Amino acid sequence: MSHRHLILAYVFTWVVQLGYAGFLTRKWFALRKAQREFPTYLDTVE
Amino acid sequence: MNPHSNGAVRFPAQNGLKTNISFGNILALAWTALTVGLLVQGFRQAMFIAPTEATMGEIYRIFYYHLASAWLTFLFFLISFLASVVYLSARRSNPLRALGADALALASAEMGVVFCTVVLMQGTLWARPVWGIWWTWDERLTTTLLLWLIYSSYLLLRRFAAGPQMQTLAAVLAIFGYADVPIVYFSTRWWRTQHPSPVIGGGPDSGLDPRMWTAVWWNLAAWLAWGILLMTLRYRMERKRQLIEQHAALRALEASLEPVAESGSESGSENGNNGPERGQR
Repeated sequence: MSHRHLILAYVFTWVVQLGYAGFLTRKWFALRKAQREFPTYLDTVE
Repeated sequence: MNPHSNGAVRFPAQNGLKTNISFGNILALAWTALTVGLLVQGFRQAMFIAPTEATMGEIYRIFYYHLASAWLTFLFFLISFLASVVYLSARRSNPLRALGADALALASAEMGVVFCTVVLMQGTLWARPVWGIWWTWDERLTTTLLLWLIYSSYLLLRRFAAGPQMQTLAAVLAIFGYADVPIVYFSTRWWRTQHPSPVIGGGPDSGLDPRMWTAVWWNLAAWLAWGILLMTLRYRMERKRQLIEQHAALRALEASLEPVAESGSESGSENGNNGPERGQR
């Protein structure tokens, strides 16, 4: 049983961390889309 | 518009080599490669190289991820705490710095909650085979759960509350919420808990076998690099979102002023000039 728990703990860690990374990636693309809608102001600022 | 600015790489160029690859992108790629390398090495050390523990056997290998995640939870909540202090102190005198601090507070709090979630779940999965129970209302476990709840409520506040006071309220919550971190850390010293003694400064019966430290440091470095990578990405996204929000507010202001501007400069509209030029905003 202990081996199963060890594997589960490592798998769970990676699922949570990669899940958060995936959430950030989705958000990044949504922001890029929003940036395309307001390009002029952001171009003058950045 | 520059006809060459269509996102393509120009090679060769008249004024030297010009590409869309910036120094920031190269740094991000190098940091990502370093992080992946560290994570692979950390996993290898924890699973295959570190010696097996005498009483618990293989299950103790959760420890290497568990300890790194716990320490990084404290670190990212500390960053959120400090950034919230900067936000509160600078929000009137230096709004630009305050906005940057607010973005950093949010990014680090999110990263802290992710690590805290991982710590709690690893703890329950470790407790079941070792203690025979999934959970106990032990002081260390309870205060850690409380910490998770406090910063989860911080994120919910930021997600669902609106209005100008939201950031101030969130900063206050982050500062007071951080008071739980020392309680979590010292809980195993102040009370007799089921949770093991601390690995550093925990007294004569605590501490680690010297052979275990190599895997501890590798995993700590690996998850620190991972945390910094995601936190930086989140910070940059939040800064971008702040800019877009400001732009939307400016557009709304422009729209409300348009009838006045049009009536005052009809001759300009006839020449195709429909509003202020880019540089005038």
